[in-house]
Amino acid sequence: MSALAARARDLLKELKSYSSDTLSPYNEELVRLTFSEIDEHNAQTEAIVSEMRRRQQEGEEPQQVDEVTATTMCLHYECIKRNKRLLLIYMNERMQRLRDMRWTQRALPETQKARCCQSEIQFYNDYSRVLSTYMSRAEGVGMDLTLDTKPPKDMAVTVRGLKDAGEVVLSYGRATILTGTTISIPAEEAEPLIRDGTVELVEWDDGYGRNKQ
Amino acid sequence: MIVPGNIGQVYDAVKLDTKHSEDQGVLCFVACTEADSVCAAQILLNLLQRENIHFTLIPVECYEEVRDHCQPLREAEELKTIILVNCGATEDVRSLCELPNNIRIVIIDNHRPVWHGHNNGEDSDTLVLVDKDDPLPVDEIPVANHEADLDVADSDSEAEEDDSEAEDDGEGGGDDEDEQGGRKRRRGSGDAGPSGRPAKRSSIGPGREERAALRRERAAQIDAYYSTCNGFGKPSTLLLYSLCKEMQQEDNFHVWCAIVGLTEQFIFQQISKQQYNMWRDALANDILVQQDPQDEVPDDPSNILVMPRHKVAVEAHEDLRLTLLRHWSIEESLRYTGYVAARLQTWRQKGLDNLRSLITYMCIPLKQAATAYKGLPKMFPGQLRSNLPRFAPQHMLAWDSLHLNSFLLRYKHEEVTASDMVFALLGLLTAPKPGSVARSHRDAFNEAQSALHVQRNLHLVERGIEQAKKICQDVVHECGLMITANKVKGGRNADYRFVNVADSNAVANPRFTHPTVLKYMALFLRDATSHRFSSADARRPVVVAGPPDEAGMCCVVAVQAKHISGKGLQNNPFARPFLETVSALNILCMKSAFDNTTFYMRKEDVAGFLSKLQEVVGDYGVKQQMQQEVQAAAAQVAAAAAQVEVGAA
Repeated sequence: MSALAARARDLLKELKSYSSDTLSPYNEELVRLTFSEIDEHNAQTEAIVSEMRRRQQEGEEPQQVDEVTATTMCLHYECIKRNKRLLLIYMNERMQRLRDMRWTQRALPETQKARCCQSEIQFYNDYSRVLSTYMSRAEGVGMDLTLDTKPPKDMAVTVRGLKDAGEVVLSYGRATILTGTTISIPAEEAEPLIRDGTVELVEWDDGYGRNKQ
Repeated sequence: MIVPGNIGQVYDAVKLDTKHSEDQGVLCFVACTEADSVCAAQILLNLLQRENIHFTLIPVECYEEVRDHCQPLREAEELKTIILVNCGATEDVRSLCELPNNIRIVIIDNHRPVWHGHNNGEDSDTLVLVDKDDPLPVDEIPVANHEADLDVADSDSEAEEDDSEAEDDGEGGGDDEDEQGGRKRRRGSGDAGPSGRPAKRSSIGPGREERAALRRERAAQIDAYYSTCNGFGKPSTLLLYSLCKEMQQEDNFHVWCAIVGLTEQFIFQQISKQQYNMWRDALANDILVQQDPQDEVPDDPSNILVMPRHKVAVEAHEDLRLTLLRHWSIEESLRYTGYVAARLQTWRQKGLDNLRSLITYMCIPLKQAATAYKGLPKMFPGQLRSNLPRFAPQHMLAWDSLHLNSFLLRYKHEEVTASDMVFALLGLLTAPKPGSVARSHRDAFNEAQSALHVQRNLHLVERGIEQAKKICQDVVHECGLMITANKVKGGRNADYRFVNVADSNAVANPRFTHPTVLKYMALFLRDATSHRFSSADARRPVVVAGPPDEAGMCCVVAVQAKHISGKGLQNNPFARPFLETVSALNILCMKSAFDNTTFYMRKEDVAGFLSKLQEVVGDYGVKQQMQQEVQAAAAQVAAAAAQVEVGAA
């Protein structure tokens, strides 16, 4: 145990090194080692506690816990908490990325699927089913919600070109997208352009004082 | 066709066009050098958006850019509308960009003169909006008459031919041509087509003299029009704001846009104070109507804890005309305000001492004057307001030029006056940025546009203000240096004064490559140089040639000698001399700006241009004198004839 919670940190670093729309391979080995680290801390804490209990039962005077023991116990306890937190972050982040994949790519790509552990695949399938049910016509709202990255307020959105994409054909006619030009296009046609980074959404005040802060 | 006033009709026509066409998008080009364009574009886009009309907005810097963007439209067959904001009125855009007739052009431009070819009642595909209360009234614009123009052009070429037979250098022909308006000549090289000539030659008869007289009259009319009507009309934002009102879309935001556009034109002396006040009062009325009675927070001076506002409030406000006062310290604001700096010469130690004396007279400790205005106890701003009218005249400052009825925007703890906002937008527009030129001006425009949305982008306003402070400081310091080092040519009695920034230390400052900064600088130089001469009428127009930018292009701008009061146009006398000089030297125009007193040229041409300009302006002086003499003589003759008539009767 050279550094406290180092393994869990490595786990997160590994996940971070992958871009936000891909997953790192589920690192079972490190997760298992982190669990064993937690067990170790737990065992040591239990040893201290049982030692104290033993002394109490032997009828010794209930004395003050000396400082060294108290600090050791606190340290072990904090280490357990930290490891747990890091593991939870790891799981949560992976879950979030899986959810994003469902929203943006609609299905789990095979390459990403190979990197998931069994329970993650299970989670993805459950999530996908719940979402589909919610969007279905029979039981839910009857709309494909994954079309928009942000809920649209209007039929048309205003976007600004981020790169010179040249002429694009839209439902209302042709438009040329250049860096720094502002274009209003129907919301559903803007979506793919926003996703591939050709344009960005422009957000304007709707008159002073109207939009709530 | 020139459309006076009824802008709503034009808008309805545009809407109808987009509905009937396959290509339903509206293409908007906006000149990207002024704050007025930023505000106008914002109002226009909001209107289009609320009507669900799809638009593409392209900020442009010169006509060449417009032409490039229009390229794909040349073969298009669908009806399409192009809206030009702050560009296009002075030129024949349709032929310049080779646009076919199925494209309707709507021009909302504050540049004057309007090309007289636009004043054609039959042409309903090119619409120029000129309001009834424009400084250049519609009835002053000559009516487009293609035949008459052809005649004039023909007579010129005939005259030229005759002249060139007589004298080899062809100088006379050149002069003749100049007289019929340089503007027109540059544009309409195809006007004087040889096809119509044989017919005309054969029609020699009794009508010839009459026609010649008509021709001369027409030439004189057009000549007068293009030499006296160069300037700026009603701000485009106000035109669009009136449309907003018609559509019942006016709200605080749009009023504020209109205010900013109006204030910019006043700061740059493009409209007179009377016009400013007239339009300002109308806007102030609208604000009163807009005000939500529930919003009013009574200003309680005893209440120390001021709660931030979550709504943006705009109110009329009588303001001191000190640049960025609320965002600077009193001393710095006074020091870098163009008017005060020019009068007191604050770039010199003596001027600075004078300034400090004024501050001391106003009972403001120098230490407080040097701290940020926002952090001052309320007492000192109060003292500034109450004592400035009293002590400013003692320091050669006129109180009239130091205060102005303006507007104030309050949001959270920030207070931004209309002039602060103008400077913030200009700061953002002119901020020098490395990288591709075409890209940076569009980005700058977008940033300025975002800054209008203060609720989201207050940080952009602050950044713009920081940039604007640097502009003001640079202008005062660099111009001070130029004046001290005698870089400004032209003395007390010269026709005009000029300076080439490339000769001074400011050559490396990328800020000065922007035409708007150059204009601000020219206005400052004009005032600063005139105060060095004791005579009252020492003001002269100023021409400033900027330093070369990355591409080796220099910008030359000119400002008129005086800020004229009244309802007229602020005429800039340099529009035609510039054109004549350029054509005399055969300078290739790489970038044609929308303003006819702004010119871009290669850096090699600048020195030649400036020296030739002197000759041209000199010629003008002589010509004017001659004209005056001729007029005086004609008046004498007429008077004598009248006397004779009276005697005979």
